[in-house]
Amino acid sequence: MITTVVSTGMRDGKPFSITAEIDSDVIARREAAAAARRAQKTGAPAAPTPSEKPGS
Amino acid sequence: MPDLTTPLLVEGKSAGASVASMIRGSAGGGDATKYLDGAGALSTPAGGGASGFVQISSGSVSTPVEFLDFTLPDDYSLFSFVFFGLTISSEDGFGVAVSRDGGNSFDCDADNADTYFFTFAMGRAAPVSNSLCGLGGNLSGTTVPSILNASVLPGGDGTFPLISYRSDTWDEVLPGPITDGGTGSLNPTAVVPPTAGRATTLRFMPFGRGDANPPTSGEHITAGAWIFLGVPTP
Repeated sequence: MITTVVSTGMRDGKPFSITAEIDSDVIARREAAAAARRAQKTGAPAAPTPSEKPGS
Repeated sequence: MPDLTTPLLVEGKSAGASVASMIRGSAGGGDATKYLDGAGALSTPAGGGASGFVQISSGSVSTPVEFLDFTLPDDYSLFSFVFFGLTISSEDGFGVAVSRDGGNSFDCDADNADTYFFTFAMGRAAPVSNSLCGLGGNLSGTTVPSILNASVLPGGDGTFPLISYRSDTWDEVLPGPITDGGTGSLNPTAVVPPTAGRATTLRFMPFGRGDANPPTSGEHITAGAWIFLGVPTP
């Protein structure tokens, strides 16, 4: 399912927003990888993730 | 041909000097007058004080935002960012992504998580790679002011940008101080290899889901201020 993501920020000190259409499966996959990365940093058991793999 | 083994800051370093005097280049009575320009050559800034740094902008976050973009002017060869008192809405670190097309797209492959690599990173025995250039720290709701310094060589034809950082933060979870630092660049052997070229825009944001186009985590920068400096190319 495609999800509309609106991200608000600042560019050169002025309000700036981005709207993108992203597959919700992609977002879920990224969230799982991010959760594994955080678990690694705090020492909790977690499967290895590409986010902290040795440099190529 | 310039001697590229010469230290980046030739003079102006002195033990115990204040940050302000280091930036001005007056510490120890020396002038820090030579810098690497975007093409990798040594150059002497034409103006902007003894060190060559001039302030490009400063500001603060008054309402929560998900990212901060900074345009890197063409006529500068070195940039420096100082962020004070950054806090973000979740327990997470900070990261930055590079654009070479004026901020329309950013180098970030969140699926393969290898767009950037760190040749020197505190606390890590080997180089690591990730989808964003991580800037360390845990900035979640801390009551202790953090400081993050980042120096950026923008790169040029055939060369990659180089980002060096140091962050001092207070982790409320430990609790305790976290000092982090490292030097990162784009990874030419990534699964989707980035092309070399000068950085035009930087996007600073909570690390979140490791994506930047746009960041999808919903994490916000809730407070903080910045000073953005640069050295004009002579």
